[in-house]
Amino acid sequence: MSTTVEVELKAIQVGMGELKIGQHPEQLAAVLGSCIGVAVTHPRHNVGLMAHVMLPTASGRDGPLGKFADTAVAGMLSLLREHGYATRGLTAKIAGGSNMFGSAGPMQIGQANVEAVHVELKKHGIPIMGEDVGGSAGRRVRLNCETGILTISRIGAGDLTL
Amino acid sequence: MLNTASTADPALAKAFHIATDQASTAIRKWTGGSVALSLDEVHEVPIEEAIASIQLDDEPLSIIVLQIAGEYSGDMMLAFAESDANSLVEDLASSVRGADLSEEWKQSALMESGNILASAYLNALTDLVEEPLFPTPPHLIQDYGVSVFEQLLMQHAMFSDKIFLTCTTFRRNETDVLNGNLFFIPGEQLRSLMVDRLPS
Repeated sequence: MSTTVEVELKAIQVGMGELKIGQHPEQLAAVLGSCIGVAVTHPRHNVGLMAHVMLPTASGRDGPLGKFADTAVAGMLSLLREHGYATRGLTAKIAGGSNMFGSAGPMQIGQANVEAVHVELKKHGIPIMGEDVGGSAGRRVRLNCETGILTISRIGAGDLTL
Repeated sequence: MLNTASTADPALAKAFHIATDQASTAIRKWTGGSVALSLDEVHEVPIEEAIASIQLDDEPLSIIVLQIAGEYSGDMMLAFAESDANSLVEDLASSVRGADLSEEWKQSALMESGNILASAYLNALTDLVEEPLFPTPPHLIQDYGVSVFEQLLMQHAMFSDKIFLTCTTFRRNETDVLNGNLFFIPGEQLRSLMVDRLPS
């Protein structure tokens, strides 16, 4: 007779500009507005990473690796290597990039972030397996590091899984 | 208690105290005396640490966003837990003839509260810096507070790695803390103007 043991997932918050790695039974979580949550997983290793990207490019500015799209993806690969994981066979899912104040808002940084993350992931050969970006609503995202499933919650809408 | 541990200039903290007092007087009058404000924090932080430095639920909130119109930039955000937004609206309804507590009336009352508060706050700063500062029309959003605050921060992140931030708490009858906050982020130009014009 087999029994199923449910393991409670431990949520690790990934704040603005941060980049974190997690392993089962951990899940990586973030609340996003115009920032992008970049979730990268390796299907065979039960390992996941999330970057909370704020801006498209560093352009010589200092800051944590996860802050800029062009340093975040490279930073994720370095972190994987530091933990002894291969960087081949990775897949990505992305969410965020909202414009919370509508199209008349003062700055459309969300779309610029989405485009920059696309460019960086392509540059490093990481295919995007799913994305939920744009719009005008905030998102709460959780990455299950074992399954690679990214769950996205929005106010007034059901959860979306990628 | 006001925390100004990381404030670059005490004169700025004093100015924001004056602005908060003026806004508090306005909101007290608007709510029939039930609600007031107190300034809790005036600090400068790296932008990526700003959210962690404030107490903002990642639950759905009723949020009013206003900006400074014209030459000087700045962002203001009022955030209320749903129950406290309802409580504030009920206070207002009790003193307004014809108030029907419909969703439309509630939204209108919240936006007007934001407008009154922001106008009083910026009037005080106008007097101090001797430059006209007035708010844009209010924008009401019901969403995760952290998501909305993040978008405000992004407008400053394009140009600077740090922001100057003031955090204000709403109080009922001077003592009870409401689950509501006012955050103000002056743009760099406004901050420089304040440093130049305020007596040290």
